[in-house]
Amino acid sequence: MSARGRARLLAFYPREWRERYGGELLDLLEAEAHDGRLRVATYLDVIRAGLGERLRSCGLRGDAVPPRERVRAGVLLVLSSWAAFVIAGIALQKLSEHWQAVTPAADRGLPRAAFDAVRVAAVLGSLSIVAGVLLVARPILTLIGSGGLPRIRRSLGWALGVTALTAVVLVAVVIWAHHLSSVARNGGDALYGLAFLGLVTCVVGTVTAWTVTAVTTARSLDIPWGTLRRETYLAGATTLAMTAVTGAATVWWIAVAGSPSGLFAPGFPWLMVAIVSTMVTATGLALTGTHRAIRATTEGPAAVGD
Amino acid sequence: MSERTNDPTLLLLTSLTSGPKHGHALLLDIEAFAGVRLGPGTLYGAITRLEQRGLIEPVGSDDRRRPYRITAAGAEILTAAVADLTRIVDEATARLRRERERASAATGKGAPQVATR
Repeated sequence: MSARGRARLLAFYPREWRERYGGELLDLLEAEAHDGRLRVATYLDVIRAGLGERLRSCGLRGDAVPPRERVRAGVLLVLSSWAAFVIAGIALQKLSEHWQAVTPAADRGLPRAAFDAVRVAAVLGSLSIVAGVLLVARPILTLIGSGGLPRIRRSLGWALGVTALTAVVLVAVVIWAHHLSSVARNGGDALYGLAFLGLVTCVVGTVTAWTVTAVTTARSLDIPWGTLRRETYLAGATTLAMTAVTGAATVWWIAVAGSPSGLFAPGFPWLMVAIVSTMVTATGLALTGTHRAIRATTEGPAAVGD
Repeated sequence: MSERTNDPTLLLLTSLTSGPKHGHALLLDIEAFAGVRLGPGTLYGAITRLEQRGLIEPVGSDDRRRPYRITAAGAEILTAAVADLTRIVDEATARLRRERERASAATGKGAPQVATR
């Protein structure tokens, strides 16, 4: 690896760390290089350590930052996990369209109960997120009032731009879909398929952009300790809802797949596996975030880690 | 507080006990006395943590490579860790000896094949 390549490795570390130790680490990498090349193990070690430093600097690992920041990091991890969960939920909603129409009445009992549970838990999770946003409404207004808008202007601009693009693509795809047969809409028209893929990308981009904006904004807010504690409870409620949705969606999938509904095409159910995998991963991350936030709240606002 | 034997921070504190060293010298020294080759990322992770806790500190240097030395607090932590480890090693040695004697008495064929230092 060239000197420039070694310098690129530093990008895995947070800026503050690079400013303090970056030069020394580069010197060490230079000494470790044989014929200008690093071993793969060395490369992986630096990447792993760099990502670890990033987690530490944002409060998701170790006790180097105060409990207040660890609570905030844990809650924001739950929020980010929820965003991934929403994307999986949209895919599930699309996949499950008309499932009752194609499933024999005698086989609808269990999947209907599971699907209702998915909806109820999803609504409860969404309400927790909305309540969490409302809780920090005052700090957000304070941030804007004190001239803090430039700190979030960039990510907010991106989010608004991607949202506008998604709206345009959505309208175009919906108009196009009305002129196509059901067969053409479901894989018969390759060009429409591409447009639909573009719409999916836009939706994922929109959810991601707003999540980044929310995280950037939340990191700039001065949030009272009491509000952080309440945010932790809401994060716990969101995580419980995510666990319930994941479990119920899995039950629904197994129940529908076991009936002669024909909802799932023959072969390996890639999409459903991707949906459930995303839900399980997001729920696992949310559990991690909630656990970290709860642990930090027990230390109190004044405690500072070693 | 107790450090673990496989913790890079303990290896690093041990290495710095014999005098200030920079990153590459630390890697070579640790490999020489412990047979462990730390990765550069792992080493600087440990350096970061130890410096934050005030257990090591950088030594002023004109060279690009910055040496580090152990602080009084670091020496105290290392002493406590070594005492912990010594207790464990002593206990393990005593138990292994007793087990060897018990097996020897039961079978009359000698000790079980257990490696000790």
